[in-house]
Amino acid sequence: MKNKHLILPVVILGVYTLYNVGPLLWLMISSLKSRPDLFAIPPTLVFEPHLGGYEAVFGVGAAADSASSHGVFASLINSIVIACSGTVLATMFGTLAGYAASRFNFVAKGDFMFFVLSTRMIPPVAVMVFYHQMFSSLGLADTWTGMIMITTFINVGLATWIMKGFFDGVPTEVEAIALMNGYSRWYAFRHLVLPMVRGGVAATAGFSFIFAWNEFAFGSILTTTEAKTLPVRISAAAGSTGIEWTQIFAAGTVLVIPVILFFYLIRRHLLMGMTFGVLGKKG
Amino acid sequence: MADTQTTTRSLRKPIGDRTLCTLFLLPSLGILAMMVAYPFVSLLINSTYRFSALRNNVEPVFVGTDNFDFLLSDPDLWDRFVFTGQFVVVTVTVQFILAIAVAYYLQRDFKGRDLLFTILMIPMMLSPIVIGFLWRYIFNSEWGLMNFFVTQLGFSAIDWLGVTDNALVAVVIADTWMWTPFVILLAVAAFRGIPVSIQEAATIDGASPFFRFTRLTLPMSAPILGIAFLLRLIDSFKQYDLFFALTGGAPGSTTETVSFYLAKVAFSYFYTGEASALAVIQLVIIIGLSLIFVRLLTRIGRQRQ
Amino acid sequence: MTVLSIQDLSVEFDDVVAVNKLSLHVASGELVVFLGPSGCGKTTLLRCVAGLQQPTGGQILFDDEDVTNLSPADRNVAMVFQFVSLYPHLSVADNIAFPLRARGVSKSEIKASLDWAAQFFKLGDLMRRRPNRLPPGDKQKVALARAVVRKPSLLLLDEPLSALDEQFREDMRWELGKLQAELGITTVYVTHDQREAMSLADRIVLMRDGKLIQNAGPAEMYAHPVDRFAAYFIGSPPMNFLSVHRSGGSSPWLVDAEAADRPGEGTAVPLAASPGLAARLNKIGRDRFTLGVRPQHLGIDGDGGSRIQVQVVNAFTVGHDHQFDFSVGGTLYSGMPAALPQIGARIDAVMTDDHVHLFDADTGDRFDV
Repeated sequence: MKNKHLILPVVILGVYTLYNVGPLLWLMISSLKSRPDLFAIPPTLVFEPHLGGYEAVFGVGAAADSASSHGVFASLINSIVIACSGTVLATMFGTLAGYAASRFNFVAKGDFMFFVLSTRMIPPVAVMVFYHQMFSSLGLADTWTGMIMITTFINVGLATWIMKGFFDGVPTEVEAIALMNGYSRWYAFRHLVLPMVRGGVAATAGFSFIFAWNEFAFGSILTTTEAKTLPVRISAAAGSTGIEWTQIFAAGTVLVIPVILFFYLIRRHLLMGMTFGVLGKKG
Repeated sequence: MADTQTTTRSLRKPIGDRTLCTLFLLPSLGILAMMVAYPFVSLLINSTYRFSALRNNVEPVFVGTDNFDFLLSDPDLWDRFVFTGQFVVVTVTVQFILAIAVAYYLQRDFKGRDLLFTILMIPMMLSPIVIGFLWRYIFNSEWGLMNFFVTQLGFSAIDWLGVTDNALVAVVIADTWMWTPFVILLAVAAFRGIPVSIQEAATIDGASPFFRFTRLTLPMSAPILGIAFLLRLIDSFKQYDLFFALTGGAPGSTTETVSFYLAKVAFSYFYTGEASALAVIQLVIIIGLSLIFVRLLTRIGRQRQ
Repeated sequence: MTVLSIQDLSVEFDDVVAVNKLSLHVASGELVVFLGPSGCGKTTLLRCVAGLQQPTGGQILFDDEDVTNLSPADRNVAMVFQFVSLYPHLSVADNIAFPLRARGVSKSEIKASLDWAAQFFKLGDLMRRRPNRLPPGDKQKVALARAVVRKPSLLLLDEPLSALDEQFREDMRWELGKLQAELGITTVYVTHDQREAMSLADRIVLMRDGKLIQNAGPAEMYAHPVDRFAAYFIGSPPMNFLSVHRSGGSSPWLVDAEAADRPGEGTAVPLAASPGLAARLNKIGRDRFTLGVRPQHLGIDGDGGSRIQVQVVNAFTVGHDHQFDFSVGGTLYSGMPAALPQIGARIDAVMTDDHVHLFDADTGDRFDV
């Protein structure tokens, strides 16, 4: 009788998990295939591993020097620099603003939080019409500085909301006691409250990094050669001469690995952190 | 010694809460003002001029609402809106049905649940451009994995990306793959937020699992599911990356979304004034949806108190 | 009207035994209270009766029918929870109608039941409102109405009053009594509050560590606690326990509090046993035992009772009651005298002999002499 009850859940969860995990495995498998294996009919599961795509991405070996892989390694470096810098800035700004929003009442606080949230809603293409002009006139187009501004901006809102959620979870008595003992609020924030939300800061940084790391729309318009990021470079691999699948899959796998790593690291706080980001409260 | 220290400390005026609050808000406010408020105002102004960012030597011409008139009477744009609408309706519906079914079985604890949950969340965090290309590879009509399965099941191969309706199905499958986890996340949070005793009370009252699910679980999760719905609506409405990589707008321009079309007007044709006007239209729609979202959010906040 | 029998029931979680081979019987129309400290297994036992928890051993019978493996829905029981479990999206009327609708009861019957509930619980004005904004007492009243509206064979209440203010508790207690009198539903009530148990119960089932300690009416339990734990748990302020041991000196009995086993800590005080008590002590024939006396039965300067001379360390008045505290061997005891003594005064604390309980010093079991 008990087993009968289990059929439906197992089927639903099982089928969905296959649909969910299958394509990702297929990406990683395909990244190790040579050109002929990639186009084999029927698709093969057993093949000789081929590292050409990875050589192009990491700028080593023969494949790195070919014309088709030009600039792929440089774009990996660009991606790392831009995503990391944007993550640090967005997490810092978001932590400060999240604390202020959690602890203080200020004029139009609700409007501020909505404004902050609205950054998540904005269609990148719409604001890009303006950014394109602004970046050109300020000399920010195709520079690290410009792209770091972008990756900071796209994450500040989310970082503020997530951090406000975590700060809301810290009792205000923590600061009250410090203030009564003659410490400044800055001291209480820096040395008492901040250490208590370390996990939240890590989660915020993780999410910010992922969004910065995956960012494509802005990069595709605002960079041309010097500051091109890996996702943008991948899209260029689908050029007029056909699609460089080996490169796309290798670069794709390289883009996917940090995300999986991050998920593994914060698996305990995942649900809470992600729910904070959407609802701004404990789930 | 101790005395001197106290004196210096009291001489230095401590930062007041007001100042600290302002200082804390300033960086975020600054970058958001620069990247959101300023562009929005500037877009509004630009939308009333006819000009091209490519030709800086030509003076912009003030045209009033001409750009809007032109856009709204342009059948091409209406086609994009209709296609985007189709995509949004189909993809969000499929995602919700799938997510609620999965979340229903994920709400209780079982061995390995946390691990499974974590794995299931991965797709929404991946690079849409990589996902787009991956599915483009899978949907290839000659060597793609999808047609391999289709032919194995005894059907004839499908031209996934060469026919508009098939391409829509393909994009929906890819978008569903990527974003169902997001709906699952919120649905599970909502389901698990319902106190256990409420479910137990209903069980004792003799309510069947189906009765409980439709009369208690769903209505009580409605606010959070509403939020998930709106966010998915907004996100799929502005979807750009996935189409860029998966269909490239093909066949013809029949799978171009509004965002896709906007990018073309702005950066292929460089009709900057017209593009600004379209950007304003898109933003107004999004802001409208966001306002509903905020209203829902505050209602939840009130309910939880 | 259902008879509930529990036979050898056990519930084991991983390595904890929550309920340990427990048997008891609840007669038709009776109101039985499961009482005990938190973690004693009373709620687990109740959840077994409801069908929310599957026992690992033993049986549950309703009127001789084995329901151990029946689902909650098939048992026709109703339950009221500690934390209000009303459905926030439904009106009060829809909440009360919920169990009827879940069973597909006809509309006219539902209406009749709602009318009865509105009238019986005086919910007239509240029926259209959402439960969220109601005061906690009204919420619990609605929960009670929802529980009984379908005339369950068994009503189960899991600490329904513990989240309420004193004022609401009084109202609810009255409501419950009225309900019990009118419908006569067999009722099981779980609480950790002995006062609540004493005022409501036809019979109290006292539990500790998953075992049944005593099963008796409130008066009986107060007068004849079966062991030291029962004596301590029932009654307020709690009973005093004095460690008494036989001495070879001029006074045959010494009180040395809990420090009796640790010589040198505090000074033993002689116990002047009345002839009656001395006879009982001799009958037991032990050198050490525990003497229990409730503060209500410990006064000052009465006649005839056993007494110890002590110094008052604290004296105060609560409403009509006077109370004084004294210390022996580092442990604090209280008595309730007719008149308030001076703090610091040396007095004779006198026990009412009929209410002196004697327990085994090691096992805590009662000596019935």
